[in-house]
Amino acid sequence: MESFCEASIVFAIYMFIYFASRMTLIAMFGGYITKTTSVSEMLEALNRMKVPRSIGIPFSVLLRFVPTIKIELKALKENMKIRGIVTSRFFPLLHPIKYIEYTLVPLLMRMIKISDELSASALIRGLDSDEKRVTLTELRFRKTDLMIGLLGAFMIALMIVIQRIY
Amino acid sequence: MKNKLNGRDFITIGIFNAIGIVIYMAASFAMATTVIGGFIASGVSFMVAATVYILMAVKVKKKGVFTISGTLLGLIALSGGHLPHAVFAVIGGIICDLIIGNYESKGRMVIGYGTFALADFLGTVIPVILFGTTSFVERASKWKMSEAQINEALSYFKVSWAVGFGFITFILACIGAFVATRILKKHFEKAGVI
Repeated sequence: MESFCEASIVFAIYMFIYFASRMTLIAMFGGYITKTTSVSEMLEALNRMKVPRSIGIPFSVLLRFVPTIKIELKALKENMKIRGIVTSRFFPLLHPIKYIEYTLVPLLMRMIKISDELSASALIRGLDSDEKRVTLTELRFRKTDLMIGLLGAFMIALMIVIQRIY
Repeated sequence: MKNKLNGRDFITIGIFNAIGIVIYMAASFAMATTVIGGFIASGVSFMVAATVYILMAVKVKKKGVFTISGTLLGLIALSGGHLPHAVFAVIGGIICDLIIGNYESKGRMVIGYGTFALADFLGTVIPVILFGTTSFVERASKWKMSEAQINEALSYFKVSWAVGFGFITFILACIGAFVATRILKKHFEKAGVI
């Protein structure tokens, strides 16, 4: 019985570290790209790499809208507290299904409206045309990029060698 | 002309995928803290996010919605370094689109969404089962676990458990999609959005 508890605890820690490492890495990567890159730079970079528009446009919109979702969620939570729908702090744990419904449906309504406005403004700027696009952002592959790429590859090779030795 | 995705549809897909991926990440992380949660994390997160994906599919009634969604999920997984997860997500998206077809019946939408969740589950669990055994044995011998404990921990890595959990994931995702269609009928059709 005791060995079963120990083995399952070790297994739980193993799976937790697996998932936590995955989520933390993705969150860091996503946060960094969201804060430094603007939408037009991202679209132009993906276009130059010959990524098709059907993947490039949703990806840029995705990066641009994750902070907006956070802001909307915060506004929704304050709204629920003001109206007295969510009374205690443990409401999500006591009534999970109701909480999900109260949060998701208004959020999706807001998102529908936001998507309509955004697509109207993007269509006016010519998102849908098939002509070759001209952008104002300058994207060049300079020596710094090459050096950082080589440094990254070198670190990966170093890690593989260290794991083999150890 | 009616059947190709325009710019409007791309933006809609992008925005709803943003919500879907945020819900998927939050639910996966919350489920992974328990012992058994790592295996049903895929099913539960797709059950919660079903409303978002089904609403997106009904708003853009064209082919290719789930393919793009699968590709975006795969890109996010790829940036975390999990190549099999990314490949399975893209393949799951393509198969889901083939199953859904022309958006005639709701039953096909529910089953298609279930296969999408199933492909994602396979992407996370199959690498652990196929390759995890050897790496787990190596690491466990470094942690100085005894032989009996290693054997007991390895007994969780059986293929039959994977099949069982895959079935549970499919059922959970189908329940989620069915509840999503009811929520859509209750709230969104009255508002005249669809």
